[in-house]
Amino acid sequence: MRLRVAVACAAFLAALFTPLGPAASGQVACAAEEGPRAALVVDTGGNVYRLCVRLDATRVSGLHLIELASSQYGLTYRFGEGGQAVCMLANVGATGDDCFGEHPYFWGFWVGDGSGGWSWSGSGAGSVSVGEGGTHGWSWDTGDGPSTHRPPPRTTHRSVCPAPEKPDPSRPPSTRGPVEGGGAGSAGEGAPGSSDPASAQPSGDGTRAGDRSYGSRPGQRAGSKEKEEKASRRRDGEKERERDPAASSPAPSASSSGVAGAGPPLPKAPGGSGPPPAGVAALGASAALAGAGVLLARKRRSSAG
Amino acid sequence: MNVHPAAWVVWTLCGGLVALATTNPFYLILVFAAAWVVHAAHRHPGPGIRSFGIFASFGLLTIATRTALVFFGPVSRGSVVAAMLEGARLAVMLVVYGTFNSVSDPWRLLRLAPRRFHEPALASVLALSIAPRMIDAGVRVREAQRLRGIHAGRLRNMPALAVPVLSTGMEEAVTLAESMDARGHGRGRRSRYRSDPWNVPSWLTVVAGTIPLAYVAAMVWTGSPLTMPAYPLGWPEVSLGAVAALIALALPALVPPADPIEPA
Repeated sequence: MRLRVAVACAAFLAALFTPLGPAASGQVACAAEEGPRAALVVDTGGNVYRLCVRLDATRVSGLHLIELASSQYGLTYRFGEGGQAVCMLANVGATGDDCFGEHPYFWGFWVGDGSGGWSWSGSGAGSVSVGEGGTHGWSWDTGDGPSTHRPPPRTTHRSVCPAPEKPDPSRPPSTRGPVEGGGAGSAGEGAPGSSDPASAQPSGDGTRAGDRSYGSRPGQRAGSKEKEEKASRRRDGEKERERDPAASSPAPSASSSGVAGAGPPLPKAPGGSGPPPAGVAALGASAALAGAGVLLARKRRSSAG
Repeated sequence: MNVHPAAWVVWTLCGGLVALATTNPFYLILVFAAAWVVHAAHRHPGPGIRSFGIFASFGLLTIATRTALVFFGPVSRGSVVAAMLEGARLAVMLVVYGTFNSVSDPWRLLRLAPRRFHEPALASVLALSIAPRMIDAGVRVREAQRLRGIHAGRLRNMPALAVPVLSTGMEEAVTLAESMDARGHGRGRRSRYRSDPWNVPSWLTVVAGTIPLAYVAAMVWTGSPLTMPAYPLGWPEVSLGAVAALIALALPALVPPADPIEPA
Protein backbone atom coordinates (compact mmCIF):
# COMPACT_ATOMS: atom_id res chain seq x y z
CA MET A 1 0.00 0.00 0.00
CA ARG A 2 2.66 2.43 1.12
CA LEU A 3 4.97 1.31 -1.65
CA ARG A 4 2.26 1.81 -4.22
CA VAL A 5 1.60 5.34 -3.00
CA ALA A 6 5.32 6.10 -3.05
CA VAL A 7 5.68 4.76 -6.58
CA ALA A 8 2.67 6.75 -7.71
CA CYS A 9 4.09 9.91 -6.15
CA ALA A 10 7.48 9.31 -7.75
CA ALA A 11 5.91 8.74 -11.15
CA PHE A 12 3.82 11.88 -10.73
CA LEU A 13 6.87 13.95 -9.84
CA ALA A 14 8.92 12.46 -12.65
CA ALA A 15 6.17 13.20 -15.12
CA LEU A 16 5.92 16.76 -13.90
CA PHE A 17 9.59 17.45 -13.92
CA THR A 18 10.21 15.97 -17.34
CA PRO A 19 10.16 18.88 -19.71
CA LEU A 20 8.12 17.97 -22.69
CA GLY A 21 9.19 19.05 -26.10
CA PRO A 22 6.94 21.01 -28.36
CA ALA A 23 3.62 19.30 -28.44
CA ALA A 24 3.04 17.54 -31.70
CA SER A 25 0.48 19.77 -33.20
CA GLY A 26 -0.89 20.16 -36.61
CA GLN A 27 -3.00 17.07 -36.68
CA VAL A 28 -6.00 19.09 -35.61
CA ALA A 29 -7.74 19.91 -38.79
CA CYS A 30 -10.06 22.81 -38.95
CA ALA A 31 -12.06 21.97 -41.98
CA ALA A 32 -15.44 23.27 -40.99
CA GLU A 33 -15.87 26.90 -41.81
CA GLU A 34 -18.71 27.24 -39.37
CA GLY A 35 -18.08 26.65 -35.75
CA PRO A 36 -16.84 28.43 -32.69
CA ARG A 37 -14.00 30.87 -33.02
CA ALA A 38 -11.89 32.53 -30.40
CA ALA A 39 -9.45 35.40 -30.62
CA LEU A 40 -5.87 34.99 -29.52
CA VAL A 41 -3.77 38.10 -28.97
CA VAL A 42 -0.03 37.71 -28.56
CA ASP A 43 1.87 40.80 -27.49
CA THR A 44 5.61 40.20 -27.66
CA GLY A 45 6.43 43.71 -26.53
CA GLY A 46 7.40 44.72 -30.03
CA ASN A 47 4.69 43.07 -32.07
CA VAL A 48 1.06 42.35 -31.49
CA TYR A 49 -0.43 39.37 -33.27
CA ARG A 50 -4.17 38.99 -33.44
CA LEU A 51 -5.33 35.58 -34.53
CA CYS A 52 -8.85 34.38 -35.14
CA VAL A 53 -8.64 30.73 -34.20
CA ARG A 54 -11.22 28.15 -35.17
CA LEU A 55 -11.94 25.79 -32.32
CA ASP A 56 -12.23 22.04 -32.66
CA ALA A 57 -14.62 21.84 -29.72
CA THR A 58 -17.20 24.04 -28.10
CA ARG A 59 -14.68 25.06 -25.51
CA VAL A 60 -10.96 24.49 -25.50
CA SER A 61 -8.30 25.27 -22.94
CA GLY A 62 -6.04 28.26 -23.33
CA LEU A 63 -3.13 25.96 -24.10
CA HIS A 64 -5.05 24.12 -26.78
CA LEU A 65 -6.01 27.46 -28.28
CA ILE A 66 -2.31 28.12 -28.78
CA GLU A 67 -1.88 24.70 -30.35
CA LEU A 68 -4.76 25.43 -32.69
CA ALA A 69 -3.27 28.80 -33.55
CA SER A 70 -0.03 27.02 -34.32
CA SER A 71 -1.68 24.57 -36.66
CA GLN A 72 -3.78 27.24 -38.33
CA TYR A 73 -1.36 30.14 -38.49
CA GLY A 74 2.03 28.67 -37.80
CA LEU A 75 2.39 30.50 -34.53
CA THR A 76 5.49 29.14 -32.89
CA TYR A 77 5.16 28.15 -29.30
CA ARG A 78 6.79 26.00 -26.74
CA PHE A 79 5.21 24.69 -23.58
CA GLY A 80 7.36 23.74 -20.66
CA GLU A 81 7.30 22.05 -17.32
CA GLY A 82 5.00 19.20 -18.20
CA GLY A 83 3.29 21.09 -20.97
CA GLN A 84 1.39 23.24 -18.50
CA ALA A 85 3.23 26.52 -18.85
CA VAL A 86 3.90 28.71 -21.83
CA CYS A 87 7.61 29.22 -22.31
CA MET A 88 7.70 30.78 -25.73
CA LEU A 89 5.29 32.37 -28.14
CA ALA A 90 6.22 33.77 -31.55
CA ASN A 91 9.89 33.04 -30.86
CA VAL A 92 9.85 35.24 -27.79
CA GLY A 93 10.29 33.78 -24.38
CA ALA A 94 12.40 31.48 -22.31
CA THR A 95 14.59 29.20 -24.35
CA GLY A 96 15.51 26.67 -21.69
CA ASP A 97 13.40 24.21 -19.84
CA ASP A 98 12.38 26.74 -17.29
CA CYS A 99 9.55 28.97 -18.45
CA PHE A 100 10.62 31.55 -15.91
CA GLY A 101 14.18 31.41 -17.15
CA GLU A 102 13.92 34.98 -18.37
CA HIS A 103 12.44 36.25 -15.17
CA PRO A 104 11.39 38.99 -14.47
CA TYR A 105 10.06 38.71 -18.02
CA PHE A 106 7.44 36.06 -18.50
CA TRP A 107 4.32 35.43 -20.53
CA GLY A 108 1.39 36.96 -18.68
CA PHE A 109 -1.95 35.39 -19.35
CA TRP A 110 -4.99 37.63 -19.75
CA VAL A 111 -8.61 36.88 -20.48
CA GLY A 112 -10.69 39.30 -22.50
CA ASP A 113 -13.59 40.84 -20.64
CA GLY A 114 -15.78 40.98 -23.71
CA SER A 115 -15.51 44.72 -24.29
CA GLY A 116 -11.90 44.95 -25.38
CA GLY A 117 -10.32 45.11 -21.95
CA TRP A 118 -8.31 42.44 -20.22
CA SER A 119 -8.44 40.81 -16.85
CA TRP A 120 -5.49 38.98 -15.36
CA SER A 121 -6.02 35.26 -15.16
CA GLY A 122 -5.37 33.87 -11.74
CA SER A 123 -5.15 30.33 -13.04
CA GLY A 124 -3.07 28.69 -15.69
CA ALA A 125 -4.00 28.51 -19.33
CA GLY A 126 -4.47 24.77 -19.05
CA SER A 127 -7.43 25.26 -16.77
CA VAL A 128 -9.02 28.32 -18.37
CA SER A 129 -11.28 27.46 -21.28
CA VAL A 130 -12.42 29.63 -24.11
CA GLY A 131 -15.37 29.27 -26.43
CA GLU A 132 -17.16 31.15 -29.20
CA GLY A 133 -16.60 34.86 -28.80
CA GLY A 134 -13.88 34.46 -26.21
CA THR A 135 -10.56 36.25 -26.21
CA HIS A 136 -7.27 35.19 -24.70
CA GLY A 137 -4.26 37.44 -24.51
CA TRP A 138 -0.60 36.88 -23.80
CA SER A 139 1.87 39.62 -23.08
CA TRP A 140 5.60 39.37 -22.57
CA ASP A 141 6.49 41.69 -19.76
CA THR A 142 7.65 42.00 -16.19
CA GLY A 143 5.42 42.34 -13.20
CA ASP A 144 3.84 39.60 -11.18
CA GLY A 145 0.29 40.83 -11.14
CA PRO A 146 -2.41 42.65 -13.05
CA SER A 147 -1.35 46.03 -11.71
CA THR A 148 2.27 45.77 -12.79
CA HIS A 149 2.14 43.48 -15.80
CA ARG A 150 1.28 45.25 -19.05
CA PRO A 151 -1.86 43.83 -20.65
CA PRO A 152 -2.12 43.36 -24.40
CA PRO A 153 -3.65 46.27 -26.30
CA ARG A 154 -7.39 46.56 -26.14
CA THR A 155 -8.91 44.08 -28.53
CA THR A 156 -12.44 42.85 -29.00
CA HIS A 157 -13.31 39.48 -30.34
CA ARG A 158 -15.34 41.08 -33.13
CA SER A 159 -12.38 43.09 -34.36
CA VAL A 160 -10.30 39.94 -34.72
CA CYS A 161 -13.01 37.59 -35.90
CA PRO A 162 -15.41 39.50 -38.14
CA ALA A 163 -18.92 38.21 -38.66
CA PRO A 164 -18.82 34.97 -40.64
CA GLU A 165 -21.57 36.11 -43.01
CA LYS A 166 -19.25 38.58 -44.67
CA PRO A 167 -15.76 37.19 -44.63
CA ASP A 168 -12.86 39.52 -45.04
CA PRO A 169 -12.28 39.82 -48.77
CA SER A 170 -8.58 40.23 -48.26
CA ARG A 171 -8.37 36.90 -46.48
CA PRO A 172 -10.31 34.12 -48.16
CA PRO A 173 -11.67 31.61 -45.65
CA SER A 174 -9.81 28.80 -47.33
CA THR A 175 -6.47 30.17 -46.18
CA ARG A 176 -7.50 29.72 -42.59
CA GLY A 177 -6.96 26.03 -42.89
CA PRO A 178 -4.15 24.22 -41.23
CA VAL A 179 -0.65 25.00 -42.27
CA GLU A 180 1.24 21.77 -42.30
CA GLY A 181 4.90 22.41 -41.83
CA GLY A 182 4.54 25.81 -43.37
CA GLY A 183 4.77 26.60 -47.01
CA ALA A 184 1.12 26.00 -47.71
CA GLY A 185 -0.35 29.14 -46.26
CA SER A 186 -1.06 32.04 -48.50
CA ALA A 187 0.02 35.35 -47.14
CA GLY A 188 -2.99 37.53 -46.57
CA GLU A 189 -2.90 41.19 -47.27
CA GLY A 190 -2.89 42.66 -43.84
CA ALA A 191 -4.40 46.07 -43.67
CA PRO A 192 -2.52 48.30 -41.24
CA GLY A 193 -4.23 49.05 -37.99
CA SER A 194 -5.25 47.16 -34.94
CA SER A 195 -8.57 45.99 -36.35
CA ASP A 196 -6.81 43.85 -38.87
CA PRO A 197 -8.10 40.33 -38.50
CA ALA A 198 -5.40 37.76 -38.12
CA SER A 199 -2.50 40.04 -38.67
CA ALA A 200 -0.04 37.17 -38.51
CA GLN A 201 0.66 35.32 -41.64
CA PRO A 202 2.10 31.89 -41.97
CA SER A 203 5.51 31.94 -43.48
CA GLY A 204 6.92 29.33 -45.71
CA ASP A 205 10.26 28.46 -44.20
CA GLY A 206 9.31 26.30 -41.26
CA THR A 207 10.13 22.67 -41.68
CA ARG A 208 9.95 21.15 -38.25
CA ALA A 209 6.90 21.05 -36.07
CA GLY A 210 7.28 23.43 -33.18
CA ASP A 211 10.11 25.26 -34.84
CA ARG A 212 8.22 27.09 -37.49
CA SER A 213 9.31 30.62 -37.77
CA TYR A 214 6.76 33.30 -37.69
CA GLY A 215 5.58 35.45 -40.52
CA SER A 216 6.39 39.09 -40.50
CA ARG A 217 4.20 42.03 -41.10
CA PRO A 218 4.58 44.12 -44.22
CA GLY A 219 7.38 46.60 -43.84
CA GLN A 220 9.14 44.51 -41.26
CA ARG A 221 12.37 42.72 -41.70
CA ALA A 222 11.63 39.11 -42.25
CA GLY A 223 13.34 35.80 -42.00
CA SER A 224 15.96 34.70 -39.55
CA LYS A 225 16.86 38.26 -38.68
CA GLU A 226 13.58 38.63 -36.93
CA LYS A 227 14.59 36.03 -34.38
CA GLU A 228 17.63 38.01 -33.35
CA GLU A 229 15.62 41.14 -33.44
CA LYS A 230 13.07 39.77 -31.01
CA ALA A 231 15.78 38.43 -28.76
CA SER A 232 17.31 41.83 -28.55
CA ARG A 233 13.97 43.46 -28.15
CA ARG A 234 13.44 41.26 -25.16
CA ARG A 235 16.50 42.82 -23.61
CA ASP A 236 15.25 46.21 -24.62
CA GLY A 237 12.31 45.77 -22.30
CA GLU A 238 12.91 49.01 -20.46
CA LYS A 239 12.34 50.98 -23.58
CA GLU A 240 9.49 48.86 -24.72
CA ARG A 241 7.53 49.11 -21.55
CA GLU A 242 7.54 52.85 -21.61
CA ARG A 243 6.23 53.11 -25.07
CA ASP A 244 2.96 54.81 -25.80
CA PRO A 245 0.04 52.41 -25.47
CA ALA A 246 -1.29 53.78 -28.73
CA ALA A 247 1.87 52.60 -30.43
CA SER A 248 1.28 49.04 -29.36
CA SER A 249 -0.37 48.26 -32.63
CA PRO A 250 2.26 46.72 -34.81
CA ALA A 251 3.47 49.69 -36.73
CA PRO A 252 6.31 49.10 -39.14
CA SER A 253 8.49 51.45 -37.14
CA ALA A 254 8.38 49.05 -34.23
CA SER A 255 11.02 46.98 -35.88
CA SER A 256 13.55 49.78 -35.67
CA SER A 257 14.03 49.32 -31.97
CA GLY A 258 15.91 46.11 -32.33
CA VAL A 259 19.63 46.67 -31.94
CA ALA A 260 21.44 43.44 -31.35
CA GLY A 261 23.49 43.27 -28.21
CA ALA A 262 22.01 46.35 -26.63
CA GLY A 263 20.83 46.48 -23.05
CA PRO A 264 22.02 44.80 -19.91
CA PRO A 265 21.80 41.04 -19.68
CA LEU A 266 19.03 39.55 -17.63
CA PRO A 267 19.92 38.41 -14.13
CA LYS A 268 20.92 34.82 -13.94
CA ALA A 269 20.71 32.38 -11.08
CA PRO A 270 23.36 33.00 -8.44
CA GLY A 271 25.97 30.33 -8.08
CA GLY A 272 24.43 27.58 -10.03
CA SER A 273 26.68 24.60 -9.56
CA GLY A 274 26.35 23.42 -6.01
CA PRO A 275 24.93 24.27 -2.63
CA PRO A 276 26.63 27.02 -0.62
CA PRO A 277 29.22 25.85 1.91
CA ALA A 278 27.21 27.22 4.82
CA GLY A 279 24.30 25.18 3.51
CA VAL A 280 26.45 22.07 3.65
CA ALA A 281 27.29 23.03 7.21
CA ALA A 282 23.58 23.38 7.94
CA LEU A 283 22.91 19.96 6.47
CA GLY A 284 25.72 18.48 8.52
CA ALA A 285 24.40 20.09 11.69
CA SER A 286 20.92 18.80 10.90
CA ALA A 287 22.26 15.31 10.38
CA ALA A 288 24.16 15.51 13.66
CA LEU A 289 21.05 16.70 15.51
CA ALA A 290 18.94 13.99 13.94
CA GLY A 291 21.55 11.37 14.84
CA ALA A 292 21.59 12.65 18.40
CA GLY A 293 17.81 12.41 18.39
CA VAL A 294 17.92 8.81 17.27
CA LEU A 295 20.49 7.98 19.93
CA LEU A 296 18.45 9.72 22.62
CA ALA A 297 15.29 7.94 21.56
CA ARG A 298 17.05 4.58 21.59
CA LYS A 299 18.56 5.28 24.99
CA ARG A 300 15.23 6.28 26.45
CA ARG A 301 13.54 3.25 24.96
CA SER A 302 16.13 0.89 26.39
CA SER A 303 16.03 2.54 29.80
CA ALA A 304 12.24 2.46 29.81
CA GLY A 305 11.99 -1.12 28.67
CA MET B 1 14.18 18.05 36.03
CA ASN B 2 11.06 19.58 34.75
CA VAL B 3 11.07 22.31 32.23
CA HIS B 4 8.35 24.76 33.10
CA PRO B 5 5.41 24.49 30.67
CA ALA B 6 5.50 28.23 30.04
CA ALA B 7 9.10 27.82 28.90
CA TRP B 8 7.91 25.25 26.40
CA VAL B 9 5.31 27.70 25.18
CA VAL B 10 8.00 30.31 24.61
CA TRP B 11 10.25 27.76 22.85
CA THR B 12 7.37 26.65 20.60
CA LEU B 13 6.38 30.18 19.69
CA CYS B 14 9.97 31.08 18.86
CA GLY B 15 10.53 27.95 16.80
CA GLY B 16 7.27 28.46 14.93
CA LEU B 17 8.06 32.10 14.19
CA VAL B 18 11.53 31.20 12.95
CA ALA B 19 10.05 28.60 10.61
CA LEU B 20 7.45 31.10 9.47
CA ALA B 21 10.11 33.61 8.51
CA THR B 22 12.04 31.47 6.07
CA THR B 23 11.59 29.25 3.06
CA ASN B 24 15.29 28.45 2.93
CA PRO B 25 15.43 24.65 2.95
CA PHE B 26 18.70 24.60 4.89
CA TYR B 27 17.20 26.64 7.72
CA LEU B 28 13.97 24.67 7.65
CA ILE B 29 15.72 21.34 7.91
CA LEU B 30 17.74 22.66 10.85
CA VAL B 31 14.59 23.70 12.70
CA PHE B 32 13.10 20.32 11.95
CA ALA B 33 16.16 18.50 13.25
CA ALA B 34 16.20 20.64 16.38
CA ALA B 35 12.54 19.88 17.02
CA TRP B 36 13.19 16.21 16.46
CA VAL B 37 16.07 16.00 18.91
CA VAL B 38 14.11 17.95 21.53
CA HIS B 39 11.19 15.59 21.04
CA ALA B 40 13.48 12.58 21.34
CA ALA B 41 14.98 13.89 24.56
CA HIS B 42 11.81 15.07 26.26
CA ARG B 43 8.83 13.23 24.89
CA HIS B 44 6.30 12.83 27.56
CA PRO B 45 4.82 9.44 28.36
CA GLY B 46 1.17 10.08 27.80
CA PRO B 47 -1.39 10.74 25.11
CA GLY B 48 0.88 13.23 23.41
CA ILE B 49 3.69 10.82 22.71
CA ARG B 50 2.54 10.04 19.20
CA SER B 51 1.81 13.63 18.33
CA PHE B 52 5.26 14.30 16.89
CA GLY B 53 4.90 11.55 14.31
CA ILE B 54 1.30 12.46 13.56
CA PHE B 55 2.14 16.11 13.11
CA ALA B 56 5.09 15.16 10.95
CA SER B 57 2.83 13.15 8.65
CA PHE B 58 0.39 16.04 8.61
CA GLY B 59 3.33 18.14 7.55
CA LEU B 60 4.04 15.81 4.64
CA LEU B 61 0.39 16.10 3.66
CA THR B 62 0.74 19.88 3.79
CA ILE B 63 3.71 19.79 1.45
CA ALA B 64 1.84 17.52 -0.96
CA THR B 65 -1.26 19.72 -0.92
CA ARG B 66 0.65 22.95 -1.34
CA THR B 67 2.60 21.46 -4.22
CA ALA B 68 -0.52 20.10 -5.88
CA LEU B 69 -2.15 23.54 -5.70
CA VAL B 70 0.59 25.09 -7.79
CA PHE B 71 -0.44 23.04 -10.79
CA PHE B 72 -3.57 25.12 -11.11
CA GLY B 73 -1.45 28.10 -12.04
CA PRO B 74 1.45 28.73 -14.37
CA VAL B 75 3.96 26.02 -13.65
CA SER B 76 7.69 26.23 -13.78
CA ARG B 77 10.43 24.41 -11.94
CA GLY B 78 10.81 27.47 -9.77
CA SER B 79 7.15 27.71 -8.89
CA VAL B 80 6.98 24.04 -7.96
CA VAL B 81 10.03 24.34 -5.72
CA ALA B 82 8.69 27.54 -4.17
CA ALA B 83 5.37 25.86 -3.43
CA MET B 84 7.09 22.82 -1.96
CA LEU B 85 9.15 25.02 0.32
CA GLU B 86 6.11 27.00 1.41
CA GLY B 87 4.52 23.69 2.27
CA ALA B 88 7.70 22.67 4.07
CA ARG B 89 7.59 25.87 6.08
CA LEU B 90 4.08 25.00 7.27
CA ALA B 91 5.17 21.42 7.89
CA VAL B 92 8.06 22.53 10.09
CA MET B 93 5.71 24.76 12.06
CA LEU B 94 3.42 21.77 12.54
CA VAL B 95 6.38 19.66 13.66
CA VAL B 96 7.41 22.29 16.19
CA TYR B 97 3.87 22.29 17.51
CA GLY B 98 3.87 18.50 17.57
CA THR B 99 7.05 18.65 19.63
CA PHE B 100 5.31 20.98 22.04
CA ASN B 101 2.48 18.47 22.34
CA SER B 102 4.82 15.58 22.95
CA VAL B 103 7.09 17.29 25.49
CA SER B 104 4.63 19.30 27.54
CA ASP B 105 1.55 18.48 29.49
CA PRO B 106 -1.36 20.77 28.64
CA TRP B 107 -2.96 20.32 32.07
CA ARG B 108 0.12 21.74 33.72
CA LEU B 109 -0.36 24.78 31.54
CA LEU B 110 -3.92 25.07 32.77
CA ARG B 111 -2.74 25.16 36.35
CA LEU B 112 -0.63 28.18 35.57
CA ALA B 113 -3.55 30.33 34.54
CA PRO B 114 -4.71 32.92 37.07
CA ARG B 115 -8.13 32.21 38.51
CA ARG B 116 -9.68 35.15 36.75
CA PHE B 117 -8.70 33.74 33.39
CA HIS B 118 -9.45 30.19 34.25
CA GLU B 119 -12.25 29.66 31.76
CA PRO B 120 -10.50 31.05 28.69
CA ALA B 121 -7.43 29.13 29.78
CA LEU B 122 -9.50 25.96 30.05
CA ALA B 123 -10.95 26.53 26.60
CA SER B 124 -7.52 27.11 25.08
CA VAL B 125 -6.04 24.10 26.85
CA LEU B 126 -8.90 21.94 25.60
CA ALA B 127 -8.22 23.26 22.12
CA LEU B 128 -4.48 22.66 22.52
CA SER B 129 -4.96 19.14 23.74
CA ILE B 130 -7.57 18.13 21.18
CA ALA B 131 -4.95 16.71 18.87
CA PRO B 132 -3.28 14.37 21.36
CA ARG B 133 -6.66 13.31 22.75
CA MET B 134 -7.99 12.56 19.27
CA ILE B 135 -4.84 10.63 18.46
CA ASP B 136 -5.21 8.66 21.66
CA ALA B 137 -8.87 7.92 20.95
CA GLY B 138 -8.00 6.97 17.39
CA VAL B 139 -5.41 4.45 18.56
CA ARG B 140 -7.81 2.91 21.05
CA VAL B 141 -10.73 2.70 18.62
CA ARG B 142 -8.50 1.23 15.98
CA GLU B 143 -7.32 -1.50 18.27
CA ALA B 144 -10.87 -2.26 19.35
CA GLN B 145 -12.09 -2.41 15.76
CA ARG B 146 -9.25 -4.69 14.81
CA LEU B 147 -10.34 -7.07 17.54
CA ARG B 148 -13.78 -7.01 15.92
CA GLY B 149 -12.26 -7.86 12.58
CA ILE B 150 -12.63 -4.41 11.03
CA HIS B 151 -9.46 -3.17 9.42
CA ALA B 152 -9.60 0.56 9.82
CA GLY B 153 -6.80 1.15 7.39
CA ARG B 154 -9.09 0.95 4.41
CA LEU B 155 -10.93 3.97 3.21
CA ARG B 156 -14.23 2.09 3.16
CA ASN B 157 -13.96 1.43 6.85
CA MET B 158 -13.17 5.01 7.76
CA PRO B 159 -16.63 5.66 9.26
CA ALA B 160 -16.07 2.75 11.62
CA LEU B 161 -13.03 4.62 12.88
CA ALA B 162 -14.08 8.24 12.60
CA VAL B 163 -17.50 8.07 14.26
CA PRO B 164 -16.32 6.50 17.53
CA VAL B 165 -13.34 8.84 17.63
CA LEU B 166 -15.55 11.90 17.30
CA SER B 167 -18.10 10.65 19.81
CA THR B 168 -15.32 9.72 22.23
CA GLY B 169 -13.92 13.20 21.92
CA MET B 170 -17.30 14.75 22.69
CA GLU B 171 -17.86 12.40 25.61
CA GLU B 172 -14.46 13.11 27.04
CA ALA B 173 -14.96 16.86 26.83
CA VAL B 174 -18.37 16.64 28.52
CA THR B 175 -17.05 14.32 31.20
CA LEU B 176 -14.15 16.62 31.85
CA ALA B 177 -16.37 19.67 32.12
CA GLU B 178 -18.76 17.88 34.46
CA SER B 179 -16.02 16.59 36.71
CA MET B 180 -14.33 19.96 36.88
CA ASP B 181 -17.64 21.58 37.71
CA ALA B 182 -18.36 19.01 40.38
CA ARG B 183 -15.02 19.73 42.00
CA GLY B 184 -15.64 23.43 41.99
CA HIS B 185 -12.83 24.10 39.59
CA GLY B 186 -12.22 27.73 38.93
CA ARG B 187 -14.17 28.83 41.98
CA GLY B 188 -12.75 29.88 45.28
CA ARG B 189 -9.14 29.71 46.25
CA ARG B 190 -6.93 27.37 44.35
CA SER B 191 -4.64 24.96 45.95
CA ARG B 192 -1.58 23.53 44.36
CA TYR B 193 -0.64 19.99 45.01
CA ARG B 194 2.65 20.41 43.32
CA SER B 195 4.50 23.50 42.45
CA ASP B 196 5.98 24.07 39.06
CA PRO B 197 9.28 25.70 39.83
CA TRP B 198 10.94 27.93 37.31
CA ASN B 199 14.39 26.46 37.20
CA VAL B 200 17.59 26.62 35.20
CA PRO B 201 16.38 24.24 32.46
CA SER B 202 13.38 26.49 31.99
CA TRP B 203 15.67 29.46 31.48
CA LEU B 204 17.74 27.42 29.09
CA THR B 205 14.66 26.51 27.10
CA VAL B 206 13.54 30.12 26.88
CA VAL B 207 17.02 31.22 25.79
CA ALA B 208 17.14 28.37 23.27
CA GLY B 209 14.00 29.78 21.71
CA THR B 210 14.86 33.45 21.82
CA ILE B 211 18.37 33.22 20.35
CA PRO B 212 17.28 31.97 16.90
CA LEU B 213 14.21 34.19 16.94
CA ALA B 214 16.32 37.26 17.70
CA TYR B 215 18.83 36.34 15.01
CA VAL B 216 16.12 35.77 12.41
CA ALA B 217 14.36 38.98 13.44
CA ALA B 218 17.65 40.82 12.95
CA MET B 219 18.01 39.24 9.53
CA VAL B 220 14.52 40.36 8.59
CA TRP B 221 15.31 43.82 9.93
CA THR B 222 18.51 44.15 7.94
CA GLY B 223 16.97 42.63 4.86
CA SER B 224 19.21 39.58 4.76
CA PRO B 225 17.84 36.89 2.48
CA LEU B 226 15.81 34.26 4.25
CA THR B 227 13.92 32.88 1.31
CA MET B 228 14.64 30.56 -1.55
CA PRO B 229 15.18 32.29 -4.90
CA ALA B 230 12.62 30.57 -7.11
CA TYR B 231 12.60 32.86 -10.17
CA PRO B 232 15.12 31.99 -11.39
CA LEU B 233 15.77 28.94 -9.32
CA GLY B 234 19.08 29.07 -7.52
CA TRP B 235 20.83 28.08 -4.37
CA PRO B 236 19.83 30.22 -1.41
CA GLU B 237 22.29 32.21 0.60
CA VAL B 238 23.06 30.57 3.93
CA SER B 239 24.80 32.45 6.70
CA LEU B 240 26.87 30.56 9.24
CA GLY B 241 25.60 32.82 11.98
CA ALA B 242 22.05 31.83 11.27
CA VAL B 243 23.03 28.17 11.24
CA ALA B 244 24.67 28.56 14.64
CA ALA B 245 21.67 30.45 16.00
CA LEU B 246 19.28 27.79 14.74
CA ILE B 247 21.31 25.01 16.34
CA ALA B 248 20.62 26.77 19.63
CA LEU B 249 16.99 25.74 19.18
CA ALA B 250 18.09 22.20 20.08
CA LEU B 251 19.59 23.27 23.43
CA PRO B 252 16.72 21.91 25.55
CA ALA B 253 17.77 18.44 24.48
CA LEU B 254 20.76 18.83 26.81
CA VAL B 255 18.47 19.07 29.80
CA PRO B 256 17.91 15.72 31.48
CA PRO B 257 14.34 14.66 30.80
CA ALA B 258 11.56 14.70 33.32
CA ASP B 259 11.03 11.71 35.56
CA PRO B 260 9.27 9.13 33.39
CA ILE B 261 7.20 7.91 36.34
CA GLU B 262 5.52 11.26 36.58
CA PRO B 263 1.83 10.96 35.69
CA ALA B 264 0.77 12.42 32.41
